[in-house]
Amino acid sequence: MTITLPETTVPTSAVAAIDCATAVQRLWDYLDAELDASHMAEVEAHLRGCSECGPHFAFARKLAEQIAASRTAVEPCEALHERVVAALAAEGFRRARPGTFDPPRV
Amino acid sequence: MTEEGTPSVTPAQAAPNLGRDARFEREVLSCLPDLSRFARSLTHDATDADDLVQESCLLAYRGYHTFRQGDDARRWLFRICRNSFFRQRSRASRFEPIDDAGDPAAESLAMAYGHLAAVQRGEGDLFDRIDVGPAINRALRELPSSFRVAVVLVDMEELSYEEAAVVAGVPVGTIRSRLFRARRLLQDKLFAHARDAGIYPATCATKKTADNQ
Ligand SMILES: [Zn+2]
Repeated sequence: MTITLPETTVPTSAVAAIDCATAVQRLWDYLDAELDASHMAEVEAHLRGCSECGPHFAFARKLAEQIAASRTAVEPCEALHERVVAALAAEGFRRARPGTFDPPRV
Repeated sequence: MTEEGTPSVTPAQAAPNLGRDARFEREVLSCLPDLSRFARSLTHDATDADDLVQESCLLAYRGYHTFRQGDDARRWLFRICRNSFFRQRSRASRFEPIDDAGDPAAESLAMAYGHLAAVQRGEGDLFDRIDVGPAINRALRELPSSFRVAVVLVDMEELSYEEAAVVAGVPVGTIRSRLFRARRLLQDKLFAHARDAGIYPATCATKKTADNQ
C-alpha cells in the first residue's frame, strides 16, 4: 500500500514501527535530513519510544556539530588574491577597474 | 605543473574577453576565501593550499567556457580544486586503502556500537573532556584523503550528499559510504586520542567495563 503524504506531516497512524537496528542504520541519513518524510517519521517515532537509541543519536549529532565547528576560518587574503590575479594575467585575464560592471546579459 | 599547450594571449586578443573576465572576477574570484579554506582542509598546509588555490583558479579560467551560467561557482571551483589536489598527489595516494566497499548501514551501526562501548568504559563524556577542535583536526589529517573530502564537503561546507557527490566526481552512494566510514573513524580516533592523552586511565576503563558486565 502506498500512501502519498505532504512533507513533514506524516500521521502517526501511517508510521511503521521500526526496531533499534533499523533506526540506528538510518542514523546519519536521519541527522543529515537525507531521508524521505515517511522514513524520517519512522525514526522520529522510534526515538520518542526508545530510551536506548537516543544517546547514540545525540552523540553522533554532537560529533557532526563539533566537526562543523572545527572548520578553519581563513581570512580573505589580499596577497593571495593579488598572486592569483597576477597568474591569471599571464593567461590574458584583465581585471575590471573598480566600479566597472559588465553590461547586463540579454 | 606544466605550461605546455597553453597559448600565450596578447592584450589585443584578450580585449574581447573583457566582459567574460569581469564575469569571472565577479562569479569565481569572489569565491577565493571559500576556495582557500577548502584547499586548507584538503592539504592541511598553508603554502600547499595557496599553490592549490592558484592552480585551481588557472584551471578554472582556462575552462571557464565549460561553466554553465546559473550553476554554483563555489561548488564548480571545489570540484576543480579537489581534482587538482588528487592529481598532484596521485603518486602518494596510491598507498591509501581502497575504500569504496563500505556498507553505509553497517557504518552507522558501528558508530552506535562504538559509542555504546565507550559509554560502558565510562567515556561517554568525551566532548566535555578533550579540546575537541584540535583533536578533530588531528584526526582529520590522519584520514585517507577521499574520506576527508567527504567530511569536509558535507560537515564543513554543508553540501547535501548529492552536491558533495558531484564535487567529488563519484556516485552519491560512494559519498555516503565514505562519509559514514569517515565519521566512524573520527569517533574511534577521538576516543583513542583521549585514552593516549591519559584522560581515561586504562585501569579505570577496565574496571568500569568489568562493573558493567
Ligand atoms: Zn531503539
